Amino acid sequence: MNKRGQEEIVGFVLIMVIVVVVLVIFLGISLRDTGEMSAESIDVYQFLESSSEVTTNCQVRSDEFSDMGSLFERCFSEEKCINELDSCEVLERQMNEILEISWNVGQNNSLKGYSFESYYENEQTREILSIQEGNCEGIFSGASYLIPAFPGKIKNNLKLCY
Amino acid sequence: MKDLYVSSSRGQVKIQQMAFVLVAIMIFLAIVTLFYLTIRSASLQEDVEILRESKAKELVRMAASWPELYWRDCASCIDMDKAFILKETQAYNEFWDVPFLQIEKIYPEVEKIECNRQNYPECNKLTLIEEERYITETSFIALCRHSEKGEICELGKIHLGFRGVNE
Repeated sequence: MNKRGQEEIVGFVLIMVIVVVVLVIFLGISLRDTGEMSAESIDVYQFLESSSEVTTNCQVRSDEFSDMGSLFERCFSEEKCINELDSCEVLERQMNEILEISWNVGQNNSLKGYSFESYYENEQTREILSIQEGNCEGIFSGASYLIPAFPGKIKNNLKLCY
Repeated sequence: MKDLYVSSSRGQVKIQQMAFVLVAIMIFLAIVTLFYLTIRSASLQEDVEILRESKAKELVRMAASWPELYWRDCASCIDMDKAFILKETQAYNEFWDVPFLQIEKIYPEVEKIECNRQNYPECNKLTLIEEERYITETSFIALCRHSEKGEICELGKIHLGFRGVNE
């Protein structure tokens, strides 16, 4: 008779333990992060899109200067600017300046470094420009921007490292 | 008879035990549910802020498609000349229902001053609206205008202010 009460207490405790375990599992599943959209990659895409519209120092007609997007294609095709400037030199210099001004990199900053790469893609892939700054070993976010360049395309990748 | 009385009492005790167990479980479940609801409602405001921020970033990009700032067929460009004229026009002060709207030029670098008739376009900030109490969202944008060299575009940022969730 005495043992019967103890048995019932044990049974009660067992039920409570099972209920608690089920609830904890349910809480864990419902409170877990489903993964938030990376806002930085939108910023990077918008940066790549906007910077491709920037007017460069490479003159292409008497009253027209090339934008950055077109300059990638000119550099790949090894075309010279009519004001005697080399398109790839102008591209590298101005892209470097734009990246330096736009992204504040430093060991003491949240942004530790960045990596910019531009490729021409068709049947083969050929690098047009590559710029690295700072330390790019930790977590990162980035985006790609495509520029049509018949018969292939130019792909610009920018990776921000934190 | 005595046996019948004893088993009846035992049955009532059992029922009472069951009732107490059920009451204890219900109280426990109620406490856990309360705890859970408290945690979920605390993160609700954070979720609303994240959604508002994503929506705000999209809205900032849409600013480039406003007719008042539109530049040719360019989704990431705004007409800087038009924006400067809007700044001078009092009629557009309450046109956009935002507490803050500013356009900033970042490349090529120029003197960091507010644009006016004397220094445009050699200036880096054009503030169209500035009120109080807002949260700013920023987006890269190309700032295009006409010049002696023809049409030129420079790199800039558009800052749009939004009122917070609690306002």
